[in-house]
Amino acid sequence: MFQYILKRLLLMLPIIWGVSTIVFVLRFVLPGDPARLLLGQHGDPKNLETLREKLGLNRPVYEQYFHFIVDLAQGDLGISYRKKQPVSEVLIQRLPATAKLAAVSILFASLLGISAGVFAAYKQNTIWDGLVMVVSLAGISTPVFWLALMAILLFSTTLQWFPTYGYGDGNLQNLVLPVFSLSLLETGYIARITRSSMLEVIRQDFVRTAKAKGINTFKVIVKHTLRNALIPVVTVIGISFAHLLGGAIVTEYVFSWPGIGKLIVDAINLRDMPLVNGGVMLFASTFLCVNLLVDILYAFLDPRIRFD
Amino acid sequence: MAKSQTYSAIVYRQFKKSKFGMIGLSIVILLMLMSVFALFGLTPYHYAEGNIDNILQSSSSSHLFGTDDLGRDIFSRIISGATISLSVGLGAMSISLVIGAILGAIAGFYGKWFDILIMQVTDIFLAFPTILFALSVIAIFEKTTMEIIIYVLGFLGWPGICRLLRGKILQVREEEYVQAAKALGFNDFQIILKHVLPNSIAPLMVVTTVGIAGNILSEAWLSFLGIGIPPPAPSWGRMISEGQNQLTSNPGMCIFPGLAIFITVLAFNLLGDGLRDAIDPKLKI
Repeated sequence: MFQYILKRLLLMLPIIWGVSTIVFVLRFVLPGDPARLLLGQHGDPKNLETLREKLGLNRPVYEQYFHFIVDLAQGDLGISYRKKQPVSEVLIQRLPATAKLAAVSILFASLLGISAGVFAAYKQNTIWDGLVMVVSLAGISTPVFWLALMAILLFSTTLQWFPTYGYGDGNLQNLVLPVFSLSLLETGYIARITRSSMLEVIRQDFVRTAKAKGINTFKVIVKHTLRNALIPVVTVIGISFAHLLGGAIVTEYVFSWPGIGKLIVDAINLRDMPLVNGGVMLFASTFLCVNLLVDILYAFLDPRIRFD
Repeated sequence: MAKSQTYSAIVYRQFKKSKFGMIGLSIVILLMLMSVFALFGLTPYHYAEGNIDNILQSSSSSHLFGTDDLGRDIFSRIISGATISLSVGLGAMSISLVIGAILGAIAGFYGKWFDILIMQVTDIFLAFPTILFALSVIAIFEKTTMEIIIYVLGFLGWPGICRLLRGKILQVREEEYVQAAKALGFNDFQIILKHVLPNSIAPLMVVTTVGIAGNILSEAWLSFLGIGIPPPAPSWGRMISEGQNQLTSNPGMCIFPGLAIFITVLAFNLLGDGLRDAIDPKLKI
């Protein structure tokens, strides 16, 4: 098991290296002088050279690249052009709000998605099954930001059940609409994969044996089928985390949720590239870590994988 | 003797049986017609033509979906927007197909270190959330255009195709008829064209339709954030973002473009689902 985790960790390194190199190259190829941007429009041009010196922009490309990678390895993501403070500090301040939104959403999507998928598989080929399949495909096809706006229109401006935007004091009411908008898409994915995975397991001999032994249907589903069917579902939950992070960016923007997603959108509008890249790198690394956890869990659930 | 059927013909016959797949296909054809109409200027009004005396109207006989905050006809803008969504969806997918097919063919046919290198790069691309990648790349440009969006999404969307084609080639390469073709002196290019592609078309079409849906959603997402297609072009995502501030005064500004995205993406997903079931009826269960 330890060897497996180590192998997976080592495999993550080339991915992070590859992505950060692409980010570095793009910064070079495309126009825009970081020193000028950091100084701002009203800065004194005399300071420009000093700043370029300080940022190391006068050094040869390979040296800059080396420093970029070393800084990155130490968690130094540069300085925000607008906020004039280290990107990592800004990100840490905003992390809790995003973590809360993402965690509640993925939990909600998993619970609802798995239940809907099990239900559809149990009622296979009935109208209920069809309904779950159609609703989940519709969920996958809905743009998150549009759903968020429609939720505001219905539940907050018309019915006035929930606040239109904001974090509040972190109370539950403010969390309902963002979580609803963000988790629908993932719920759809998870429901569909749970259903097909359940149907595959239901066909197997041990399920028939369990039924023949006279164990009641509910017990067969929960104890015998679901446990085996969950393995691919866990993978999909890991993958859908990427969609969730992309969705979190627009959801936070629509609801003025003070997290990293909103920070990224604001930074884009101000062309604050270190902040945009920092936020994206943080999201991407989170995604990689979640997938690593999923793979470990997977190996734990299915011992065959460890020996592959 | 009964006429033997090609694989594609069998898939098509299976596909015709899928009700939802056919609905998806019909909507896609309808959308294509819509964008052709828009290209020839056959919309009730021009998409950028505003009328300041006629802003934020709700639905009426002269403006089917009402007007926006600049007095532009929302219905005409949505019809014209189909051109943008389809261009981005199909354009980016064509780029992905070319890159994916070439890399997949090289990896599958020549193996060795080509294969290792290409698959390593594919893994990097697959492991990184595409939409975040697209965001950080597009944000660098001072001004975005539709071409930039097509190129960026196209250059990010090839790994799935590459992996699929490589797998197919590895599978077909060992078949006896391919060995026979080799012995007869056919070159690699001819073999790929004659034996590998016909075997891969159906699964490629599934990946393609789902990919187009994804591209359309990504464009809408980027335009909504203000880094997609610049105004006054009627990108559906941008229209929603413009309607955001008028949510209470004229909700139609948000509702209709959103429905357009939803129906378009759903249609491509239904088409993909139908094709998948047709290729492998087992998966339907």
